[in-house]
Amino acid sequence: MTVSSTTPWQAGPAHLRAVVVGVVAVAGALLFRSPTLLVLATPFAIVAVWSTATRPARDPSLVGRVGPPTVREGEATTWTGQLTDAGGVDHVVGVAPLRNWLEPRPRSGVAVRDVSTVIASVAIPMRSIRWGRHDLGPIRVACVSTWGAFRWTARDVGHRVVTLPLPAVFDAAPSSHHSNGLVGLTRSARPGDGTEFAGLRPFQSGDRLRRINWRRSLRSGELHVTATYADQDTHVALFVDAQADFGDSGGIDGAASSIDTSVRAAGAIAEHFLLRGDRVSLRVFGSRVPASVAPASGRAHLRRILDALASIEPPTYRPLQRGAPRGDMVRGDALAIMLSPLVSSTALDWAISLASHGLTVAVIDTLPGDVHVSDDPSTGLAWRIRLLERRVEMRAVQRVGIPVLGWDGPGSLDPFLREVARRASAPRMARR
Amino acid sequence: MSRARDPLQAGTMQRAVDELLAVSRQRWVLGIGAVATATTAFAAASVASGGWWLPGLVVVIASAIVSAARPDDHTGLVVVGLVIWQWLARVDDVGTPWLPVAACCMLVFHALLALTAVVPTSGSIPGATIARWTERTAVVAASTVAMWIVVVVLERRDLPGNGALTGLALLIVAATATAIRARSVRSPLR
Repeated sequence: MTVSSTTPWQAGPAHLRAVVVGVVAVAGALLFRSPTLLVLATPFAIVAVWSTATRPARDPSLVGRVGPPTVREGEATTWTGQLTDAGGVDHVVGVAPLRNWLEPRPRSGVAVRDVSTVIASVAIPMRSIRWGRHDLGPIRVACVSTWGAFRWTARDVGHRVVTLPLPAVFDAAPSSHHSNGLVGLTRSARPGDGTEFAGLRPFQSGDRLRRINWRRSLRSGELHVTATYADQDTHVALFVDAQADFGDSGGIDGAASSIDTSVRAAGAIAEHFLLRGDRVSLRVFGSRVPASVAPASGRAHLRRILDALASIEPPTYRPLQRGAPRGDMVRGDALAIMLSPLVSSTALDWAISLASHGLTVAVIDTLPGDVHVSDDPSTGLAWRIRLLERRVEMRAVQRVGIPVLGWDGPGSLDPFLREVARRASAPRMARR
Repeated sequence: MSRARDPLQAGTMQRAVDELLAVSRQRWVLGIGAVATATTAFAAASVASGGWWLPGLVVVIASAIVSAARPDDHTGLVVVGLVIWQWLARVDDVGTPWLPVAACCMLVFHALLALTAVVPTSGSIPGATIARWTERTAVVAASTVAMWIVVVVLERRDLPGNGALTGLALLIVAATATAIRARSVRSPLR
C-alpha cells in the first residue's frame, strides 16, 4: 500500500493544441474578417472551453494494494488502485511493467477504466508462473480529464508477490528408516504405544486395560494384551544446491530448469513427509539469500519451507565455503536428501561428508536432459568434458553407498527408501 | 570479409520491431483513423480549390503518421496548422460544403490524438470510453456545422463590418483566453 510519487493535474499537448488553434484562429478570423478561419477554429475553441470548464478541482488520492500477496505457481494476484476524490476524471489508466514471471491480464499490462463517480478503481490481474519473489512495480497510474486535456499521474512502487513453488506430485510407498522421534506415522522397530500390530503377549503391570485381548484371554485363561509397534517420526533433512541454474525455465507451464526441479521436488518431498507427521529441515546453499529452516513438523512448517524455497536467487556465482553441514540441523539419525544438478562437485562432497558421519544420504540429480550451454564450440566442448567428469564423480559416489537418483515424481525415492528400511536393522559403521 | 553488425544498433532495431509488434489492433485502427482524417481535411481543401498541392499533402501525411505514433507530443499542432494554412491560402469560398467536412475531420483527428495520448500503444481502450468520446465529438461537430450555417447565412447577407462589434468580440476572445490560461496552469486543491 505505497505510492511513491504523484504529479498534480497538468495540461497536456491536446489542451495546448485546442487552446492555441482555438484562440489564435478565432482572433485571426475577427481581425482579418475570415469566416473560413472561424469555422475551422470552432471545434477547437469549443473543446478548449469545454476542457477548461470541466477541469478537475482536486487532486485524487491513490491507494494501491496487492491481494493476495502470496500465491502458488500458476495462481493470480491482483494489483488494485483505489482512487478517491476522482471528480472530473474521465478515465483512469493503469500500466504495469512487463516482468519475466508475471503474466498480466490483459497481456499488455494496461488497464483503462471509465470513471463516473468520485470513487474509482483500476485493477490489473497478474498470474505468477514461476516460484520466487517478484516485484510488481512501478505501476504507473494516469487520470485523464475530459477531452484528454489535463492529466494527473502517480507511481505506485514497493509491491512484491511471493510465489510459493507448486510441489511436484510425489509419493513414497515404503516406510522410511528408523528414527528416535516421539510422534509420527512411521512404524518403529521397537514395541510401544502405536497402531501397527506387533503380536499378543501376557499382561504385564502398567499395560492399559483397553489393550487387553479378551478373546485370547478367555481361551488361554490368562490375561493377554495386543502389543503394537511404537509410531515414530523421521527427520528428513533436505539440501538444495542453488549455486547455478541450468536449462531454460518456462515457468509452471513450460520446461523446468535445474533449480525449478530442485525447488519443486524439495517442496514435494517436504509436503509428503510433513503430512505423515515427520520432521523436515531445509538448507539451501549457493543462493544469494541464505535459507535455512530448522526441523519441525506440521502444515505450518510446510509453509515455512515453501517460503524459504521461494526466496532462492541462484544465478550469481559466488564461491562456496567448503565443509559439510554439521550442527543442530543434521543429527546422525536423519535421512538426508540432496537435490542438485551435480555440475559442481560441492554437492557430492557434502553428500559424502554427511554419509561419513552416519547419515543416510540420497542425491537427486536435477540436471535437465537438454541443457544448451552456448553456440561457442569451445564452450560446448568444455561442457561435454564437464558432463563426463560429472558422470565419473557420480559413479564414485555410488560406489561408497550413496544412491544418485533421477527425479521422476511419484515413487522417485521408493527404491532408496526400501533399501534404507531393509538396512535399518543391520549394523552400520560410522565415523564419530 | 563481412562487416560485423553493431550489436547496439541491432538491439535498437529489435526493440523497435518488438514495439511495433506489440501495438494492439485497436491502436492500429485509431492511428489509421487519425492519419485518414488529417489527410481528408487536407484533401477537402484541394477538392474545394480544384488543385492538389502534393508536397503539402506528403508533409501532412508524414506529420499525421508521426502524430499517430506519438500522440503525446506537439506534431499534431503542425498538422492542424498546415491544414488551416492550406484552406486560407487556396480556398476563398466559405459556402463550400467541404469546409465543415474539413473542420469535423480536424476535430476527429484532435480527439483521436487526445484519446490515445496517455494509453500505451499496446493497450486497449474500453468500448464505453470510445462511445462517450464519440458522443462528445458528435456534439462538437454538430456545433461546428451550425456555426458554418450561420457564417454562410451572414456571408450571403453581405452585412457591412462593425468596428465596435469586432472589438467586443476580440475582447471576449482575449478574456476567454486569459480565463483558460488561468484555469489551465493553476494548482488544484490538494
